[in-house]
Amino acid sequence: MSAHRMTGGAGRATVATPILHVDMDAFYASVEVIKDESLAGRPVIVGGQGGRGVVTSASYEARAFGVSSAMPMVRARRLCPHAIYLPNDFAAYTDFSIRIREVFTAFSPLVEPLSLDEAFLDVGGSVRLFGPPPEIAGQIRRRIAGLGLRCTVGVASNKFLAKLASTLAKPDGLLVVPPDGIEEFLLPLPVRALWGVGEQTAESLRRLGLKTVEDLVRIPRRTLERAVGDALGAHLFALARGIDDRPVRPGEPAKSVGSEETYTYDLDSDADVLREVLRLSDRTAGRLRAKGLCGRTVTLKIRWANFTTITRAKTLPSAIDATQDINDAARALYLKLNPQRPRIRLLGVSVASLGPGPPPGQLDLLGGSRNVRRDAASAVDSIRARFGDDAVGPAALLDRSD
Amino acid sequence: MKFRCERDDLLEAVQFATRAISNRATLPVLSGLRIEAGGNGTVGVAATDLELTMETAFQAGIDEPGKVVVPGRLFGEIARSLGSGGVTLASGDAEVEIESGRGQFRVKVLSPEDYPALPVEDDAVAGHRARVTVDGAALATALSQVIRSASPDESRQVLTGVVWELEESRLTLAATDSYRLSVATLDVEGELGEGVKVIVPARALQELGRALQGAPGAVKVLVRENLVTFFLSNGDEGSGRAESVITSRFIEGEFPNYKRLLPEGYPNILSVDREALLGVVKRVGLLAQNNLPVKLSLGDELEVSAHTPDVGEGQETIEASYEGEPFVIAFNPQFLHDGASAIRSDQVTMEAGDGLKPAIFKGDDPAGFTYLLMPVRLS
Repeated sequence: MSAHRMTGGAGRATVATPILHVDMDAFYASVEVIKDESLAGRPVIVGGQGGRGVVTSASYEARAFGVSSAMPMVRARRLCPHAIYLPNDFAAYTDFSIRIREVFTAFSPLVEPLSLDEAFLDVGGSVRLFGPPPEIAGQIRRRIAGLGLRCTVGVASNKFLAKLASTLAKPDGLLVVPPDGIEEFLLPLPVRALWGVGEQTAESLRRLGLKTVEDLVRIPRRTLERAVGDALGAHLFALARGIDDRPVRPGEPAKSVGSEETYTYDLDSDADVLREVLRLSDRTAGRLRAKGLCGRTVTLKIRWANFTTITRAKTLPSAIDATQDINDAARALYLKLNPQRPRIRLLGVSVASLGPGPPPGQLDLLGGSRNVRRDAASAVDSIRARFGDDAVGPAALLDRSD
Repeated sequence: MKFRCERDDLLEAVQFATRAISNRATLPVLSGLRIEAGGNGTVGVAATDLELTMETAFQAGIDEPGKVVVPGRLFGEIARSLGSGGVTLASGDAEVEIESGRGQFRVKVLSPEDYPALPVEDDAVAGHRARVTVDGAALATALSQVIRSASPDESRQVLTGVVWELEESRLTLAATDSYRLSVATLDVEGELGEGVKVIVPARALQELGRALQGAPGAVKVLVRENLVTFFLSNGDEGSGRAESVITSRFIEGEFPNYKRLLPEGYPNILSVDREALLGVVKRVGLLAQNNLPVKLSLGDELEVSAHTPDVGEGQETIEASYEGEPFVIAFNPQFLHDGASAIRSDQVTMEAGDGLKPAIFKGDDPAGFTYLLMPVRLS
């Protein structure tokens, strides 16, 4: 952890709550509203449109009907049949994500993105320029509002407390946990609020009569370690006291870009697998181009029904960013495995050995198929930017029931 | 079967034929080496992966004619490890016995009945499409110039081969991986029939090229319905080796019409010293990583430069003579180096249209070898 936060380095004021957790509110749904203003104030639900699609984002108008993220689309449609249903448009979300990140980096170089719509900031070194952290949080919220989006910010002495604060302040909120307010903030919370406590751990603790953070603070460390194991016990002992010394790590450039999916029903035919490989290749290609990258190594990840996971990779002579090129490689990797009776839970396609895109175009002597692919890819991107991810794609992905 | 021979003759023959054995043999028997002692004082050694067949023969004292199929790799290791001198081979029921000096090996054999029939070895066989003779040294040169342009990508089968086109006493070899095209032409003698255009797998031609290094005499080429056979005379009269034969199936499919790809010519013509070009491409190419190109700024001098973000950049100028408009063209450095190194003269000329059209590389003998290279479009 940086010294100035603990002790106040020479020439620097001690900042008690330098950590911000910024979480966008209903991010994908809000981007959709920016794209189409007529959706403002209406329930908007974004997610996969297929039979097994899940909700990736719901506007607060839709949440009022009980719709939430990760819920199967089918259930959302029952709860809120009159909502506007839209496909994921990752190119647009990535675009806004980049603009949001620009807001963050204007206030501090120490930004750790957690996903497209969530990040930690350490503003300990920025207070002379921008004022105390709660004020910086307010400025960030105003700048984000200027983009047409809303967010919730948690401000605290460490990442754990900051993230907890933003969770509790949602939506469109700002919550500061001052050092002398940690106990008041933390003790009444259920143990489930602690990072690392899942259903099983909560149940182990409940059997000991430990329901709230306050209960945890009252028992000796040894008891806690016996109840949930040494490592988790020590971890919870610290968190219950509001202690978390993980530093904010500025995002490193992506090492690979990819997409994977777990299937509700195991894929059990080559035709199904290859169709999904194409779908994932297409999504990966879109993400690569959205990030302005291209790469030479294509990796196929397979988790079989028995949960063993394998990866196979192929490095190509030149960098690629087009669906067809990624699919060619991923497909060849699958066919080389030649599984006799495939039963696949999870498939992933990713591209590594990244460099800045678009790939310098080695031109093709023979009718220029690759050059044509390049042009097709740009056209696909612009159509998707306007009409959504499902507006255009490989014909093999068309659902025959449509 | 039983014969006596010189270990060196045996080893050379075994090493030659074993190269046809595939690492991924589809049938167990294809990991074998067929050894056949004939009545005429020669022992034939052959191996095949059904696509490529390599056969050779050497002189031996034959006590009992016959044939046996031995495990190829093991037999090769044994032959190599024996000391120079005489070797006796004798086959029993299910074994072959190898005796050399005081050493004795018994190796289980594979069933000769399971061994596939090899393509007919008689060059007088009826039904051939062409039968020609080529100078071995010239063929070796042409192969080395052309093979590197064949594609390693099995998903486009026809491009993994080299097209052989026989027309009017000329043999043209061409290969392309779709980024560059190599075309070499040489003289032939013999019966051409109605002309021939077939695609021969690059792998077979690599073996042919390798075999020609040791025996650069005349090569007889026999083209049949779906096979081509190369007969190599094993030069030295003194050696115990007889003729070697390489047979390959063709790759089915339509090879791109490469003649249409060759431009008539361009107004921008650069001439540079070949060694200087190779050197500068190699040095500056070190800074063209991640598939980035080297840029050639064409003018009274040739400036070659490369830049890889986060790595660095390089630039060097060499003397050149140039006619035409100054402009910049970029190439994959490896492809450019391949082309320049394939040219067998001190000067290299490059003709270019613009930064998006294929450039033509030639040496002093423009009829002999042409290298066509697609540029890299700069982003």
